[in-house]
Amino acid sequence: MSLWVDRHRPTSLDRLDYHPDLTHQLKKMSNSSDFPHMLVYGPSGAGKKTRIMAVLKELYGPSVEKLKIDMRTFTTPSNRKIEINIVSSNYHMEITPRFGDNEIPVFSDVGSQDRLVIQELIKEVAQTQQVDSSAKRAFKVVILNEADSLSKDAQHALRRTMEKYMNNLRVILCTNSTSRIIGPIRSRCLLVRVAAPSADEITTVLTKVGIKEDFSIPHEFALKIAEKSNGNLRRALLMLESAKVKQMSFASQIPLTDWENYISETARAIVAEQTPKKLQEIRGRLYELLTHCIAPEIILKTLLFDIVKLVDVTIVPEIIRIAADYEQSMRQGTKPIFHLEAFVAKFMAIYKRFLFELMN
Amino acid sequence: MRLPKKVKTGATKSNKKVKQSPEMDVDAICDSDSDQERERATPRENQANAREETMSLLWVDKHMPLIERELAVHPRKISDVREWLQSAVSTDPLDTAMRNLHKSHRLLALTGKSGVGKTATIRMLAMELDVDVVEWVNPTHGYASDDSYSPSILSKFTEFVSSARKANTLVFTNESELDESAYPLTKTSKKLILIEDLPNLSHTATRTLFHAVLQSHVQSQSAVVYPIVLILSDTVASSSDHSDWRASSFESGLNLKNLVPEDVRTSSGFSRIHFNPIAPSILVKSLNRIIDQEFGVRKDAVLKKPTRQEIESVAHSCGGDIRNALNTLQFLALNRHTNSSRNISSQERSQRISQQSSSQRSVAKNDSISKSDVGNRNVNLIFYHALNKILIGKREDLRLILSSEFFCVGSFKHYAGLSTSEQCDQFPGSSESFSTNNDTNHDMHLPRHLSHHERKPLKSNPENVFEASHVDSDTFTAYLAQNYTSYFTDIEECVLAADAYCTADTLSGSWKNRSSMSVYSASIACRGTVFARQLPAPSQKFGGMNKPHLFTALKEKRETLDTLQESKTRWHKAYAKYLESEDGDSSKGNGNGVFRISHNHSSQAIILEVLPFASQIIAPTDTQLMNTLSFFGPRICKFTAMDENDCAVEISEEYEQIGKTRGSGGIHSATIMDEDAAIEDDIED
Repeated sequence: MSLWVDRHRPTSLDRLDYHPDLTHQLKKMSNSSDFPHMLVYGPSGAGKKTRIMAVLKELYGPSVEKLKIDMRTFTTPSNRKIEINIVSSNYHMEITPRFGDNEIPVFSDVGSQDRLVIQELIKEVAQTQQVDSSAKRAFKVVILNEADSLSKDAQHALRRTMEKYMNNLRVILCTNSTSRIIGPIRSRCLLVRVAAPSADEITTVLTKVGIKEDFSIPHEFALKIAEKSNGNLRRALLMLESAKVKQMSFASQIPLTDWENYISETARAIVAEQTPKKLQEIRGRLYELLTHCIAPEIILKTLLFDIVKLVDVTIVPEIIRIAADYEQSMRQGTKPIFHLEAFVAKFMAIYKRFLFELMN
Repeated sequence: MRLPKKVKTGATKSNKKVKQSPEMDVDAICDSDSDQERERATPRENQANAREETMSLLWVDKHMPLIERELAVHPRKISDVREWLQSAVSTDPLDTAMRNLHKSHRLLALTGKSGVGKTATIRMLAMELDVDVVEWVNPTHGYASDDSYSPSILSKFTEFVSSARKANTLVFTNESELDESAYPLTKTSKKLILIEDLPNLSHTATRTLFHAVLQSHVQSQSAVVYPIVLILSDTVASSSDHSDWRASSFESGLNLKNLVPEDVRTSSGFSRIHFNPIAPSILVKSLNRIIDQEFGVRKDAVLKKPTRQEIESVAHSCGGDIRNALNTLQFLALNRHTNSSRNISSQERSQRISQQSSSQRSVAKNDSISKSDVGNRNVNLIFYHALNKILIGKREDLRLILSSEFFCVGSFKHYAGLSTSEQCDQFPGSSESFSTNNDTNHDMHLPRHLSHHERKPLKSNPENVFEASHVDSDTFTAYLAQNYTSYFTDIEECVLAADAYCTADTLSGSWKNRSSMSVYSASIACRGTVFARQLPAPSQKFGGMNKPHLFTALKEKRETLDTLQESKTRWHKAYAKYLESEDGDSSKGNGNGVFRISHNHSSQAIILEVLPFASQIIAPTDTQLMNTLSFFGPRICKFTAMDENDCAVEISEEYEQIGKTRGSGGIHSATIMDEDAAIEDDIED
């Protein structure tokens, strides 16, 4: 079975629900004879990939949806094997990084060897001309997902490749933010920003999905989901489906993910008691989160904002400052647990002092 | 039980250590090796004559036990091994028949700490029972050829075992020329294969092959099977259980479990004899015997005989390791000579020697850790002792003096690892750095606004304590960070300690400078912990120390990620198939039971959003998938094994399997849902 978020994904530009201007531009571009490299960016769940796939369909027609997924093995000069999963059709190829250590996506396990992988793959695509005479386009498309996890090396290699094979290759980079994409690449691409949908837009989509799934959603409930989702449509749809499955009366609370619940529980525990014993208990919970691959930065951030909701406004600035401090030291270190724990300890101390002063 | 033979001459005859090099051509290493063997095998009379020449010989080698009386192993252990060996090599036709019928006595594993006499026992008994010992030695010259290295060593190993399994082969006569060529090879058909030098078992392929060899050996149908004896030294638990978490994919540590495969361990042919550390009483006896032999013959001008007292203290501190004890004694005797001009009482002198050699810097007198003798082997105890020392952080009961062990630089939490500037100047190398603090600083007080940083002087120097613990700074810090919370009563103290661990972590963050920075990070972690203490530690019994969860957590996470990666590919494939079959037609409902996720989600989104919600969405209808996806239910990786169906698998088959798993896992999943409900209740509260 597939999730609603996949099943009701618009597959063509015409079916997109929001950002009509952007859609119009993409459509015009796809139908013109000249198609540039693209750098698509925007927050998670805004619809970047949906638009990219729709553009591909516009470019090549429905046969671009005949996907095959295979594993490619590369051998580095140092004789190590790198395995990369590739999604491809006759007209395009999509490269996605692996889950790396510390949840950071990586294109290859072997440090900066991603340069090699990217170069090899792109060359391979670029050097084989389009054989299919019925193809609408002379070029193929390479999609690089999560492009900001490419090393600087790989990005520079990419820059060169992009120029060299311009005749039969277009690159579409997909990333959350352009900050880690080097300037030369940015200047070679058409920047396409896919903004997060507004609450109204999300509500519309939710209602539409409801109609397709044969049930009606109260407007208030849809609005509530839209608010909770923070402009993340994927999240909104998953919440909706989850609520539907749980037979919620559409008035009760919005379902959250188990790890979010777990963190907010943790936050309450921290605020409730400030002792070394409690700290030890919290450490167990933090470990639990880490082993479930929740990125430490996300744990810290979620925990921080859950705590902020529970404490007095006067100490909030200080808490946020210490959280920032520990986030910074976490990025310099290698063992996130120490820093998360230190943050919790520090907060406990601050909060304890605050309570103490309050009582006197 | 047979009485030990009259050995003196018989021993030399039968003690042919037939070294079979894995390579047929004999290289230099093999040569030197058998030289050593020859020396070991030299009869005692010769040794006595040649004492002057063998001055350089280690006592350990020189006094290799040749008869049971000399063996510092508990007599019962010896008889255990002897019984096994006797029935394993017995040429009595009845015994042989029984052996072959039950496939028994094929493989013996001797385990125990190093230096408890495992090898010595087997060699002594082999000599006594007239058994040839064929030993596997890893070739050490394979590094030149790059990729062919591991396979070639593998094939050599199989070759070795199979050739050694055969009856006396040409190889033996060939090798015997190297050996004591004075007498011809006796035609004993008794032989045992000794594997002490293990092939590289962290390499998966090698391990598989090694297992295969053992398996085939245990299962072998051939009429003559020579027993294999595996000798495996237990490594110290504290450093081996997470030996290298960076090299994740390898099975860590070398233990019987991953050395000998499960089915071999349970088979009838396998036995295991565990050697305990040698009891101090036995140890003292053998040490005295050896010392008497060494010094009894004549007055030695070069070496001084250790006193009984010293022997006893060595025997107690070596942790049941006779090799270590002997080396220590020899070393002490040697050092004595260089110091003998000074007129100090022997007890003090030995202490001085041990302190100088064990920790380069002299330490406070009452520091019991560093007082231990050269090469103290009781590592585990020392390690926990060191942790305890740091965590409790005892201070001198004097007047308040300047907080000398710790001071802040900069605003945030960058502690200088070393002490006051005065101490920094002298550090390292200065022998009195610690005690001078008392003399020079004791009048000085911190200004009032800093008075909360004021601490009494420490009883022991944290750096020395850390050094005595025999572990690396990462491990030490991890242990501290795991246990500090139960040693503190106030949260403010915890903050200081936790901050120190953070700083220690950031310092050793980049692997490039890890080795040079680790000294600092250890120092900061230790001093941070000690400094954090403001109130006396809660009274706590010694030994309440927990292993750090850090390394297991990392391993678990990595496993989860790997499984996720695998599953992701499978879900994507299912999605691609779905796209093709339904051609994107979304109106059809739950077409079939295969779970799929489109490739359009980023990995972060899958972990944080898609999977957690999917587990909620799928939960009521499909137990199996719920188990796969639910993060805070059972571990994800344990359950994807059941979900192994490729997308190509027919739907009906899949349902069948779901039915099966439901049957077995029904109760389990029910409890999980209860737990979920409980969590939700909590939230509503």
